[in-house]
Amino acid sequence: MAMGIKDKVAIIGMGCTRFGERWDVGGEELMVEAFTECIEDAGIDRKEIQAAWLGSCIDEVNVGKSGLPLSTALRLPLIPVTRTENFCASGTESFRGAVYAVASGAYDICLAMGVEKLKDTGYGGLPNPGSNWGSLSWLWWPNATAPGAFAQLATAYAAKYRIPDQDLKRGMAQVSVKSHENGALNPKAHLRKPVSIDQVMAAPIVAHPLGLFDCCGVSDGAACAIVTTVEKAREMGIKNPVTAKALQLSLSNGEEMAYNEWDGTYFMTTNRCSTMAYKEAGITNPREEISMMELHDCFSITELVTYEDMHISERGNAWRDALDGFYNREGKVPCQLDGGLKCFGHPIGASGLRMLYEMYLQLLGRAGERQIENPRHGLTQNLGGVPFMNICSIAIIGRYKD
Amino acid sequence: MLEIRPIMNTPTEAIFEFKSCCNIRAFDQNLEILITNRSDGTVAVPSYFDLKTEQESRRIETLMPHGEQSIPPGQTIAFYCTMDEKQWNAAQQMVFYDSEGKHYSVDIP
Repeated sequence: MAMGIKDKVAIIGMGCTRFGERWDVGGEELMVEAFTECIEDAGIDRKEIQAAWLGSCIDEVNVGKSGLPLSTALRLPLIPVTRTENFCASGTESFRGAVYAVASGAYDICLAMGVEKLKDTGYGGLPNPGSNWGSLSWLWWPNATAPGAFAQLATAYAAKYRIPDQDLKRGMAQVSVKSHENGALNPKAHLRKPVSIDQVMAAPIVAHPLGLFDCCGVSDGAACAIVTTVEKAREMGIKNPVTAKALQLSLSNGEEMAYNEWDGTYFMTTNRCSTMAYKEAGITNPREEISMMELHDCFSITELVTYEDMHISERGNAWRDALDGFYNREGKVPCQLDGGLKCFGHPIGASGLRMLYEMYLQLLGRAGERQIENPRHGLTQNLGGVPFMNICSIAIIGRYKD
Repeated sequence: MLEIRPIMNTPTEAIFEFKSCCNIRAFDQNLEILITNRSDGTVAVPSYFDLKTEQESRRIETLMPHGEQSIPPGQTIAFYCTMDEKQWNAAQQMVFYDSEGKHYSVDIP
């Protein structure tokens, strides 16, 4: 009988680079930068790492395919290194690989790394994936753009719940305002200036109703984690380590694209994935038990709808909760405490571990000006793809047996 | 009645540059001007303003977006442009106009 991952694996070290337009370094240097912080935090020697996972998505334009970019950049001691790729969940997938490997008993200490170096592509946005998404995808949605696909989510959502345009715009604007307020306090964020609701609402439209501040940018960055067993962490002197409480993944199966039962107003994957994650972590009332979240805010509407798919806001009410400050730093469930994708951009392979890094800092009381009081469960969520076909990954971490 | 709020060295400048993925090729837009319509009717505002010092008035016509912008009652629109820091510091007032020729001024702090 499967028991899940709860409290079986501890995180003993994490590292994260400054995100941004890192013209000064390559993907390899970004990994070294994140790893240097991580291994110092873990207090182990590099030779003690027994296996590693590398999450990177658009490999053709940055570090390259295979696990070699990680093993060579870090001069790892000829150990197994596996490359993971699952769209925007790539970083969390590398974490999942490392955690499962420790939980299985195959290894004592594993490394998970996520990296992406997107700015060197010369594109402002994501490069055209060409045939990498498979021929079926191109047949089903040949001309979709990311902002266009998520704008359709916004209009369908507003229509279903009869939300006036200006109210939805204001709710989405608050999502962005709150994240920029947090990002201004984070030295590792790319964008570090607060903005007002008026500025967000008056900014140029990218794909109606999504404006400039409703869309995240692309960026360069890396983040990583070292994991081990709870017993080993205690031997190392960590009495109450941060442990994985849940790791879940849910992928579309074509149901959404067929538009039979799906009405285009929510994420089927996230809705299921969060339910499974709460079950694995033993959480029965997420609105009360989740202390903080890092959600995939590629677009403000994504974050807004995800509040509901997380079963924290009621259906049709997320925009009200946002405007009431429920997800602000001082709110009941603070969201994007580090600034989120809005302030970090989205170097695809790195984002999942960057989110976990903030939850880890918060749980250890190391988040400085952004620190919230007594967090218990920190949740991260990635959404790769588009509303009608995507990959959702969710991780929940907390202190051991808490 | 139009309420004019200039924001020199706006955070939006960095957002424009970072998000050139949105096909908005707008660099060095360091001055953002928010205009809110406080009247009961829609007001149309051409995309230029006069920047005034005690000695002179200079028309700035390089605003983004270009052309006349309609502002419904209670709503806010934004203009952006490149503004020389010295010129801005020397200026005392900016004046916008509506399509009927009425002018709306704001003192520059």
